[in-house]
Amino acid sequence: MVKLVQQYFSQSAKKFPEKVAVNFGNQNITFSKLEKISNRLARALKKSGVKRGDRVCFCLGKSINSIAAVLGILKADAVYVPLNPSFPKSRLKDVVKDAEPRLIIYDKETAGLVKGLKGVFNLDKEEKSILGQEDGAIKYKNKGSDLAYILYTSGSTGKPKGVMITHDNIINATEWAVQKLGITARDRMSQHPPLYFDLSTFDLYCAFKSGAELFLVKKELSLFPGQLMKFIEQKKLTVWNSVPSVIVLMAAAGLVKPGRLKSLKKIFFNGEAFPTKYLIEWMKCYPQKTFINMYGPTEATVQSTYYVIPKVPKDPTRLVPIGKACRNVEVFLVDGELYIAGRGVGKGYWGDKKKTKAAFVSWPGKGRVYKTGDLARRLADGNYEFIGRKDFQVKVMGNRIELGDIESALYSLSYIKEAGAVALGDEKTGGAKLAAFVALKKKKSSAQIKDDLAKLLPGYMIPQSIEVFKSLPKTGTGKIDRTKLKTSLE
Amino acid sequence: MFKKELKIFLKSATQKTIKSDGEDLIKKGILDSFTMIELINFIERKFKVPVDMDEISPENFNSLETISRKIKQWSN
Repeated sequence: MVKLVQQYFSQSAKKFPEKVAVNFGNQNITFSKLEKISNRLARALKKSGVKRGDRVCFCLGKSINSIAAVLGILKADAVYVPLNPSFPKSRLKDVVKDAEPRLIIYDKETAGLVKGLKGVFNLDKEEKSILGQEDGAIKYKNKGSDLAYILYTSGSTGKPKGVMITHDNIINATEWAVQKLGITARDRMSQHPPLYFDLSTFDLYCAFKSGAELFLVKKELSLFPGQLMKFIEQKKLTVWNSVPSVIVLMAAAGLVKPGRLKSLKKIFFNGEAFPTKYLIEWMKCYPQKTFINMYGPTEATVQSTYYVIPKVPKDPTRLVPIGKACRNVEVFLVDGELYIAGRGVGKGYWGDKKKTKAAFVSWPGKGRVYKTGDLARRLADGNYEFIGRKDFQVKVMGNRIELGDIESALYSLSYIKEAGAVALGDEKTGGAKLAAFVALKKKKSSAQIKDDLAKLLPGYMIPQSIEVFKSLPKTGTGKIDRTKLKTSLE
Repeated sequence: MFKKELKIFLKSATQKTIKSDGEDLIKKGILDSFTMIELINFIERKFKVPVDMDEISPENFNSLETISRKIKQWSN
């Protein structure tokens, strides 16, 4: 078994040198070519001063280059930190400040975003120097317990927090997934989630280990379920993995019909609950396909539990279970909250001992345990069922958002007197949407507030509606009453 | 044609400002996947045309200009 995740790729490159590893649009690259280019990139990064354990950010749109960046950074014994190219500059800066990267890899498309930051590395300009490096195998200094990536996620006080994941964490998740879910070199897998989202760990490393072919899905296709369906058909994908909302949209658009998606065998969804009403529609239409619900917070590496949905669910109002623990993972309940132990549990939050200590605890007989904040119940058959959150974290289209993060952005605007954010259920899609309530010091329209928020928050965190109130309802302790705000809209 | 109604609808659905008829609503983040479904429902209801989900794409359905062109095409 490998010790470092990039070795998965190297092994497949030896086995299937001429097989296509990654497709994007009309471009593709074989395993051997990607192996060589990432070796070269790793050497160029080292030449630029990258040392073992250094963080290297990359700010790249979906592309074959971004996959090469992941491999190149890992091969340089460094830790990759993907930056969201649609982040507003201020938020991007917060992440960079926290991660303290040795380098930030970017290209001409993201040049404006990284302008003014230190240690930038332009992929286009460095091309010559990268191609001038040797392409043979590299000796690694890293160990399995070293970090492979840091992914930033919304923090309740407005500061993004970096989740630290090791090579060993990923290897544990990948060994289980490839074997248990039966992913092979014959598979053609979607690569839908962006690399700054931990769901991408599943696609990347399952494909690298098994030798399956990856098909990067363009971001804007998610808005066009008809095109997305055609994409799956034309590329003859056999495995699909994404947040449920993307799959839900295909059903909501009336596209789920017999005779379509013939190549597709397995559908994995993760990141939020799949509204059962649509799941029923999918499963009735495609009884031959396998539907698997996966659950796992970023802190415990992609998937902690899984549930192979045995038959079409009967009750459209009840969520399907999140299932049982994956191999080498243990889940258990403490006062209704789900705790996770085992090899998937990451190292905590980068540079934040306080938050790490609060969420990761040592447990007698189980080692390090992550307290998820998710509330669950254990069913008679041993499967777990997700109930809700203990705190104010919400999921919108699979994006993990702390309501406090939105409120803190609102409060940073000089004209806001009071602010509260809530997530509301969306009847049509079964997902959630964000709403904010504000009291103002100075007259502003909702559109103006949104424009200002766009300078601070990524698009998915901007509330769909902003309601202006004279003053906001408070709880007995003087805090903004989110429950009352919520009911004011219902 | 259709542009004015589309603009009013999108403005109220998203509370965002649309600067011009040619503005790329996807790149600007005005159209997200939920708004897209709402927009499609709106078009079918308001203009009484069926939206062809297999036909629309990020290239031909991304601005007031291109969306209204599609509606025109469907109404003929």
